[in-house]
Amino acid sequence: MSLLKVENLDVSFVLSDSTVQAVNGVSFELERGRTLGFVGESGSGKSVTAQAIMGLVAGENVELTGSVWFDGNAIDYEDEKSLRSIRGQEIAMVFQDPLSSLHPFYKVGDQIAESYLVHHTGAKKAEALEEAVKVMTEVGIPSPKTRINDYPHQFSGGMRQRIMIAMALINRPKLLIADEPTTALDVTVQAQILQLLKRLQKENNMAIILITHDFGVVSEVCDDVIVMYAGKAVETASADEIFKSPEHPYTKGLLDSLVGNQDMDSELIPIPGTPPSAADLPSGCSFAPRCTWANKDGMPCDSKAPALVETSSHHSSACFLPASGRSMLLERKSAK
Amino acid sequence: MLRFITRRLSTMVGLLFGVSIITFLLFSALPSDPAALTCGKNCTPEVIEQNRIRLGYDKPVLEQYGVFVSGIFTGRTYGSGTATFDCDAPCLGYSFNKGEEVTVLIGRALPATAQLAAGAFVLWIVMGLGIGIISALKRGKWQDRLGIGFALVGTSLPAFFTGLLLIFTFVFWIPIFPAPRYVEFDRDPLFWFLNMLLPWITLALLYSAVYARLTRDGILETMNEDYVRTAKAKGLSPGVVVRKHVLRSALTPIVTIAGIDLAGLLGGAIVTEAIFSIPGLGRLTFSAISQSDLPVIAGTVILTSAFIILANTVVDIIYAVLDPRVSIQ
Repeated sequence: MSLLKVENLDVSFVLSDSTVQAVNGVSFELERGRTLGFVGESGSGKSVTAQAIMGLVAGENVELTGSVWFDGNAIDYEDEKSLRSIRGQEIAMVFQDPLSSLHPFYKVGDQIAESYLVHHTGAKKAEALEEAVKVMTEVGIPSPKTRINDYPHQFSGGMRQRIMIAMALINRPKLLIADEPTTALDVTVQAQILQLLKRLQKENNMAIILITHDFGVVSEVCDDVIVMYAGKAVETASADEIFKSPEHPYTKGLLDSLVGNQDMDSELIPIPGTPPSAADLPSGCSFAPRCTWANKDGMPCDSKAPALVETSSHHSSACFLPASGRSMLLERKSAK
Repeated sequence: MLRFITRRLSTMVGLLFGVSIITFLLFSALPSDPAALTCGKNCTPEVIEQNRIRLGYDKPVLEQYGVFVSGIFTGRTYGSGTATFDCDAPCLGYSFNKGEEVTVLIGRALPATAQLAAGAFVLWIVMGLGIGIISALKRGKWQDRLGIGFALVGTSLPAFFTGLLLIFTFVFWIPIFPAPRYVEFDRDPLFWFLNMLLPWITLALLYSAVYARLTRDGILETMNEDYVRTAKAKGLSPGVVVRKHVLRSALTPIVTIAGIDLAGLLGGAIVTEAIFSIPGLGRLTFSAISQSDLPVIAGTVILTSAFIILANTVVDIIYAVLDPRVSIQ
């Protein structure tokens, strides 16, 4: 039984004059101890997917359908109380910008201890602070006994992110959702934080959902990858597969635009255009307006949205034209 | 901390000198003759001239100012020969219109104003924050619209209007309250309270509207902060998220405004005191201005400035305690 199973997750925001579909029919499974990467540009719906799983996307103007099973139980998003017992205890979250994600007015020790106290009713503050010191040691914060009394602004960016991770880890969650955890950090610090996450994952047999736009991060830590575009999963595969044989033209485009993926002399190839607005999606394939293969060979890209289908074992892509077909088209073109 | 306070206090002394100089210069530029105002209808040129010398108005402005300042520290003596009298330090001058020392006049007026300001302050903080918090939590609902409507009406209506409206309604139309007549607290606590309630409400309406608006906007802004999302992700209940994480941030800036507003009010609420016949600093200042009574004007202006500068210092200290990112050095 997988730890997390998401089926047909739809999230839309109902505005006064339109409905914005942020997540559209996303399904996936995640096993204990594994790392799943969500990759995509800003606005692709990766963060919303993750926050929806936590039940953090809520409100009168939010429509949420689909089902989420965690540890064998369906999560009931109407039941605020049971949702709270999952949040921070079973599923914890680390965010992008650790400075703005920590409360500026409270000591970091108190903020970490607060996580413990919510889920340990009857625990004393002193006990929670002891736990905080323990977990701060684990995430590699030097002299935690004195540093629990410091405020977030007194730490460096990397240390702050370690504090966020300590806060997330104090209750030994089964799943950690890390939303761009290294984006706001220096490159050297990024590597340290990723190493730390990997180590903690091993020690706690914890599953991780890692949200990123950076394939470098994916190659570093992820077992599996979901590539998202305009609210949909357009390709899912193991991390190795994604780098070796990307199926979807969008994935291919992302990899081509990555520094270090080509010869030193060759130019970076950007994906033309910008992602569509979630309020105004194209009728067919959302990627079609930016895709060089769109409508080639009689494919209905502008009128029909391709479904996510398995192209090889554990590898799915939402494109009418599989990668093999693309090379055929290319050959035909050069033969002419 | 100690260095901060001493530095602030020395700045305050400098500022007070500046304020008093400006007050003096402005006053000396006025076309009215302060000496002529000392004797009313019985004035003869000789009396005016005598009084001018007695009060020191015959000397150049700068010299008058020098005497005034030294009077604060060492006291001063008015007149010469046998017709002298002493004004002990700290002497802010002597009002011939009222025939009393300025410090005595201020000392008598200050309690009433302090009572007015303190009561109104408590009321407007409770009302303003309460309405602001409810508005923010019920955003877009009828409670919010009502709160915002109140804020709009409250800020739009001047004190002389709400004050008179309250008197008309609750003194004449539905006679719950006595006709405004100031009674000291010691003499009749109940009457004092009933009499102060309407002026408190008048001022509170004026101020709480602004505070409601500030509180509401502050909360709504803080709700979008990343650290509030973190708090929710921890599994905290919505109540704890609001109380501990949102309000703490949203209300801190309000401390600043509250401190300055309170200090300003301690300098006298001229309109409200006039409407409700409260013998406070506002009324004292008003009568001094209409009688060109320089010593009293200078005294109240300096006192009000001192309150505001002091409040600024106190607010800065409180702010540094509330927000650990701010350090006072």
